[in-house]
Amino acid sequence: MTHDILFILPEVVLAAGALFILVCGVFGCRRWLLGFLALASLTLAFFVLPGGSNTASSAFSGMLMGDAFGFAMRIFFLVATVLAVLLSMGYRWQDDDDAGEYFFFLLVATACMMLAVSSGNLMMLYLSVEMLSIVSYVLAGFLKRDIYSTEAGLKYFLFGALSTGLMLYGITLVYGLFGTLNLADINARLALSGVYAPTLILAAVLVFAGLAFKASIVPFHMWVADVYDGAPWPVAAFFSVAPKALGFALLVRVFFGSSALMHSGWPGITAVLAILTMTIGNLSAFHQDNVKRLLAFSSVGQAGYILAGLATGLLGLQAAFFYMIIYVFMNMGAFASAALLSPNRMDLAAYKGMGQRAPWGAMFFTMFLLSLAGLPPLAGFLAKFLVIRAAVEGHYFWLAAAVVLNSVIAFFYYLKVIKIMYMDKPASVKEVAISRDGYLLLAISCAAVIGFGLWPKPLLDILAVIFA
Amino acid sequence: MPHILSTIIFLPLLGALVLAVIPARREALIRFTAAAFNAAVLGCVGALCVLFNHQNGGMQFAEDHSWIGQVGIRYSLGVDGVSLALVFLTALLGFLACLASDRIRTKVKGYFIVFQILMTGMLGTFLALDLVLFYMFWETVLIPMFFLIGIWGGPRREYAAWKFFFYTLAGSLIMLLGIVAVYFWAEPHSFSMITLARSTASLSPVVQGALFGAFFLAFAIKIPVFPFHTWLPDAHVEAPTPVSVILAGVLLKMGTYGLLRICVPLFPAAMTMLALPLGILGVINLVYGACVAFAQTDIKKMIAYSSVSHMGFVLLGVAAMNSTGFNGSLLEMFNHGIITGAMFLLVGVVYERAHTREIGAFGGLASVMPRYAFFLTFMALASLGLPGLSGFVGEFLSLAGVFVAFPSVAIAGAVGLIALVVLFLVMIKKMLWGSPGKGVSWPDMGLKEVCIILPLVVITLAVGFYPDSVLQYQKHTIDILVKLL
Repeated sequence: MTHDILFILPEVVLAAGALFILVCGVFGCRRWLLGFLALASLTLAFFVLPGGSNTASSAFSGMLMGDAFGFAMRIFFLVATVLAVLLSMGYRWQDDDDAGEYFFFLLVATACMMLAVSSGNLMMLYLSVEMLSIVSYVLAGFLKRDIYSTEAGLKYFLFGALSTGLMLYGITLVYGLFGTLNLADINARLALSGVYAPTLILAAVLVFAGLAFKASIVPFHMWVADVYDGAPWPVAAFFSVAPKALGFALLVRVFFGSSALMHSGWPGITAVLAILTMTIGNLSAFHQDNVKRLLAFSSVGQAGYILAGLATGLLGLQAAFFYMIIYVFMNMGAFASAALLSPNRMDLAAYKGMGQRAPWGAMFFTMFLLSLAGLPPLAGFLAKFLVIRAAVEGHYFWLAAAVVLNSVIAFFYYLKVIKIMYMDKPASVKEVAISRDGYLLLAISCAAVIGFGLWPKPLLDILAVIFA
Repeated sequence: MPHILSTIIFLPLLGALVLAVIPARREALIRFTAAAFNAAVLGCVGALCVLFNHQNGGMQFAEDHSWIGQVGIRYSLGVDGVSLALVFLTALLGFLACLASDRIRTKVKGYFIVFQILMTGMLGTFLALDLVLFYMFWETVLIPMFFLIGIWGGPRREYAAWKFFFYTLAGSLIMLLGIVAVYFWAEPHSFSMITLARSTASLSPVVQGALFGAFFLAFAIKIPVFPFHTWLPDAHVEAPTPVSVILAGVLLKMGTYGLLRICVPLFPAAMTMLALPLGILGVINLVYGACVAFAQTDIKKMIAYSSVSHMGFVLLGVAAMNSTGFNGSLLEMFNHGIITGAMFLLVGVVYERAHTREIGAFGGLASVMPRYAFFLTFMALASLGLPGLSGFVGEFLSLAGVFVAFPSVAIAGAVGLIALVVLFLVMIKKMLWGSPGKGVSWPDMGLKEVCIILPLVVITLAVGFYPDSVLQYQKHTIDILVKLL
């Protein structure tokens, strides 16, 4: 019993912290104090994370399970949320109401993601994902007086309800086939029989659809631009990294447990989906004149590269997760710098002349965009390189070629933003002030993007241990 | 000096960091700092040339460290006869272009920071011995060049910058595919150019051909080889003078350097198989470039197309696949950098005064600007290949080399040479002779302008009279290269 409690202690800490912040918010604490409390809870949660040992453990009779992958992903979500909290502190909000509730939802979402990635049972997985979804719908519609934000919340809800419904249906089919929802048991049964009944394939497709919705894989990406567009900037930034990473992590949890995977249709189908995702994402971003929508579609394109890593199976697993870790920093950085440079106007023209109006902010934005585009020596290049390498090693030359072609298209729109910042004449030359918290976030992300680009060895070593 | 190559590569980057902390309004200090760093780089390269043992054709001053061991990427640098001359060329032109940047009046700080990053990229490209490292430096050049053309360029700068960027980017990403593919095809898996040169020869010619194609496309766009040359005139016309110097003097050489450094040692079978098509492309470049140049009325565009023509000689030399040809090709790269660099500087001199580059606007400059007339004539003669000046040696060796392999190609190339002669003589006649037109009364070249041009004039003359001054550094390396075939 103690073991079980210890296992979920980080989530308990987050939930307790969230409740405390909620109460503080009611008594009118300032945003910076609430943000500070949120950071404190996240740090405390990090320190009570149970062991990083490789030995698998389970809690609550198999409902939750711990392994190196789960451990790493829990840290991953903590870090992503720290970045999101910093952005929420540094961002210039239109009004300062409800800050307590905002951080409450953010921390609860993190706890849900950490539970989801530790799930050893499909029911537990479904419940965590559903809870995350409900919190996300609220966050997307957080600006109550803004009709676009409300619309974003509603849209997210409609799409989300459908996709989690599909996933639930898939899970019931799995239960009907195996009589259990425990992932380890299901995989053991699969390894024995090796028979793929049509029902099982249907179930797999339905579960995949539910997770692909979170990861914004084409054709489940329709919601992305509208939801990001309407949601407040920090929320959009958070959505673009954390729940998306959760989608990929759960894909690995559910589908990579069985060694029969590589002999099934997985590589071919996911490779095609990866190509569709990156191509449609990049082509849609191509002629956006709204920076938020441009970044939203770019995040769809980036999801395609990560999926391309997963398509090559175990070869690309390390590449995909390396990409995901780098992606958190570069994408969060890009969203954050866009948000900090122009909090209210989102059209490209608002960024004209930023090179003079906010030299440091523009420089950070440039670094993140170039890293997203995959320019060496920034970390985004190495991430893309690893994905291409895995594809070539697995003899998926067409997949590698698709990644390369997409990089060319993607370069165009990333560079377009940079061009506008540095080469276009601004309407006014008023300086743009960026808050200290904002700079802190940008500096951390930029250090990560440069640092992991030049010295990726430690990170690759860790990944090698996790996916050994 | 164990880390001299790293010092040479990263000194400009250090300069960029130093420049970043200088306040933007202190322009004089910024200019001085940039010049000082480039002078230091030139000094280091000078020391490198002195310390370089030219009896040894192998890699010298090599540095080799494991970098991203899990993936097989190493940080390995080295200099040999193929790269030494180009490193010197880069450092020299970088320094001179930096001095010639006083017409850059807007966003001075940004200009020099970007310029320094560009220097790091170019020097690194010539010194890297690991394919991924090479690729990284190769790509590093792109963004600075995009900014240099796009921010400080002429009226159509944005179009030119985009065009330059996308041509090169498309090529280099295909090269990236080639790099990854060659890694997995070669046994043992490696990104090291030295290791690969020993192992890729056993690959079948078809595989070699495919890999060669991936690399060649990237190089062909950079050189540029017909029909990928259309970015060049636009980029040149819009780029400010010092950037044009770097573009023609150094950037084009990155492509031809890639042919000698990567394509020849790694894919000898493919090269032998494709030598004739390469030679034909060379002739097309030579003749087509010269003919199109002849039709231009903008002097800068004319010289840009004459560069296309000169790159034809370099291609011919490579297509010869023998030591004479390779020597000629490499020497022509160096000479073209010096001569065309000087030509762009000279075009810049009149453009600053006349604010036009239309050849019709000039005439009779010889009587108004005698010093200018001397330098322009001198460089034009060098460019068209007058014996006694450096251009002749490289062109002659390239043609002589290719004559052994493909006589008909050499003859066609020699005919192209005539077009080049006519082109430059007509240019001299139109610009310098005759009576001065209306409003043609500008001051002659000042002391600083002469000082910037003078080193290039001296080198042109020295190499012309004593070609061994450059050839001695490269010929032992070329002998090794030829043995691989």
